[in-house]
Amino acid sequence: MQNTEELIIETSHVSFGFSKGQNALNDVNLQIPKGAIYGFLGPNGAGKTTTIRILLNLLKPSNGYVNLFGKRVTGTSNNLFSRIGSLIETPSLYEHLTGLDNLLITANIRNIPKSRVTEVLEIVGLSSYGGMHVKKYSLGMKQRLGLAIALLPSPDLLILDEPTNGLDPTGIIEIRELLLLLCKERGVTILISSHLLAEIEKLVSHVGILNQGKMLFQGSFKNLQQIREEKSIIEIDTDQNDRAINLLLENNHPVSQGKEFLEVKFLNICQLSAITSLLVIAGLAIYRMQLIESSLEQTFLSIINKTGQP
Amino acid sequence: MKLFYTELIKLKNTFAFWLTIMGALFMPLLLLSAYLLSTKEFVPAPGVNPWYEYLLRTFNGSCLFSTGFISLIIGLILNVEHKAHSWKHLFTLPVSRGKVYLVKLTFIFATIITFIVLYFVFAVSIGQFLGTGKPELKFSEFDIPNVYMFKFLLDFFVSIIPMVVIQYWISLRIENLVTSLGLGLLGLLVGLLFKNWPHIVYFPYAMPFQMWNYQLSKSFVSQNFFWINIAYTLLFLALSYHDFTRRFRG
Ligand SMILES: Nc1ncnc2c1ncn2[C@@H]1O[C@H](COP(=O)(O)OP(=O)(O)OP(=O)(O)O)[C@@H](O)[C@H]1O
Ligand SMILES: [Mg+2]
Repeated sequence: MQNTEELIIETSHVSFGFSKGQNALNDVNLQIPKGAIYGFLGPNGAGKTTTIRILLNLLKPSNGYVNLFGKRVTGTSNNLFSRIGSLIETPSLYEHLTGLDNLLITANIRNIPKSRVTEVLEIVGLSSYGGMHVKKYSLGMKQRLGLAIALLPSPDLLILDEPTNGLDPTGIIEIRELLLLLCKERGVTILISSHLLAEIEKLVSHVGILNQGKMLFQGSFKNLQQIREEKSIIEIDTDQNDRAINLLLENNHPVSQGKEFLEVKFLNICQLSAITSLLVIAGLAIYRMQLIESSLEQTFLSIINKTGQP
Repeated sequence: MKLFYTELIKLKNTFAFWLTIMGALFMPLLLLSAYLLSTKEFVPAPGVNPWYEYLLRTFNGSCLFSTGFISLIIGLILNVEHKAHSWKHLFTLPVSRGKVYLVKLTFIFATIITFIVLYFVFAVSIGQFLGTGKPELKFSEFDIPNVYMFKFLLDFFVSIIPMVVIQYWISLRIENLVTSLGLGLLGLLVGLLFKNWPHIVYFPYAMPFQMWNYQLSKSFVSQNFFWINIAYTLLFLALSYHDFTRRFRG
């Protein structure tokens, strides 16, 4: 039997504080299945980078533990990292060297043949800039080089912290397509962090939302879409709203008085015609009947803002 | 070996690289100009080997200036990593932190040895050049006192090891080059100013200055300096290794 639930990244009750008494992370439980593209979302200072640093063993959690590829990460588990490519915040680049030399340094440390270096340069579209000094690179070019360094070991797991930072729209689309390809063809599991849902919604299969060090949502992208649908309403306005409320309640349509209009919780599309005929037959004049779907972005924001207020 | 090679790549086009060569040239060139400008004052008494005096000046120059250059070289080599914010990257590669620490330290020692060797190659070459260019200085009439020179080289190298290890630690931990170098130079200054105080041998930065006016008869190794140096080296190696592998966050 195929184990579809094999987790590549799993954290269990991970907490971390930079200073005593103030936790930057609080009981974070990440679960990232094999082959997933996991969008890790949260506003500035949410703790995304801190979480990623813990995953990569750069910081030790004060509580809980991390499993990568099903193995516990400890102080000496460096060999796990031969399967992981990562890019944290701004890429670590030696600006006085050429792009090629930067790649060669990591390739040498990782024992990767030189042919792979030219390969990754081509993948990120920097072939003709390999011999240029990195200090002359633009922000987007540096970001691409950082991505090339992460891709060097042909990793099974890619951990990318805001990789599209500084990229132009074409660049963003290129990266997105590259990541989709890696996931589809090579089964690479990808963790990608971002502030913007819109930026990664065409890419991800799973979503985790973090705010103020706490996980607020985690699940498949479909789950998030369901939440969005549950938040949709039908706005109704008639000449006799009091009667409309009674009618709707009698017919089991949950209704409430909104700011301007009556609001009915949206369940399915047949509801619209049912409500319309109900009101028309009763002789009411309908002024407004509109389905209001909240966007994914609004859903995302509403999840974050629920805990945003003290 | 591959790790060591990557360190070499990182040094390309850096000031640290040029400093290793130019710094080694500095004192020998200073001596050359002194011997050329006031040749008469340096003409040796009949039958005296001029190399002894010349080498002693080279040694003292080495004590005085090389230590500063060495601090700067260490700072610059580590600054390459600090500037690139590359610790976080290095630590996520499949190499242990201990290896990163040791390779870097070995590389720094290799650079320092290169620096010292270059310094003496330049100095001896200049002496030989003076031998042909200014025959009255008699450099070509006498042999180079090899034992004297190698003994100094060995003792001098031993004397700077604790300082190098401490300076390595400081430069690892303090990202700002001015601060780490400042601390090093301060240490050296204290060591120089109080070089005659009997207890100063317990101050690691003072060791190189104990080699001032080096004489064969007063060999450094025979005294307890040697043991103090070993003790300090082991102590600071252990402390900095522990700090780097366990606590350093990069
Ligand atoms: N080196 C540090 N020392 C002390 N506090 C820190 C440090 N780094 C981060 N923090 C704190 O930890 C919290 C989480 O920061 P983190 O960098 O993980 O956020 P983030 O989600 O990556 O934000 P962004 O989207 O801006 O990158 C913040 O409140 C921040 O102030
Ligand atoms: Mg961040």
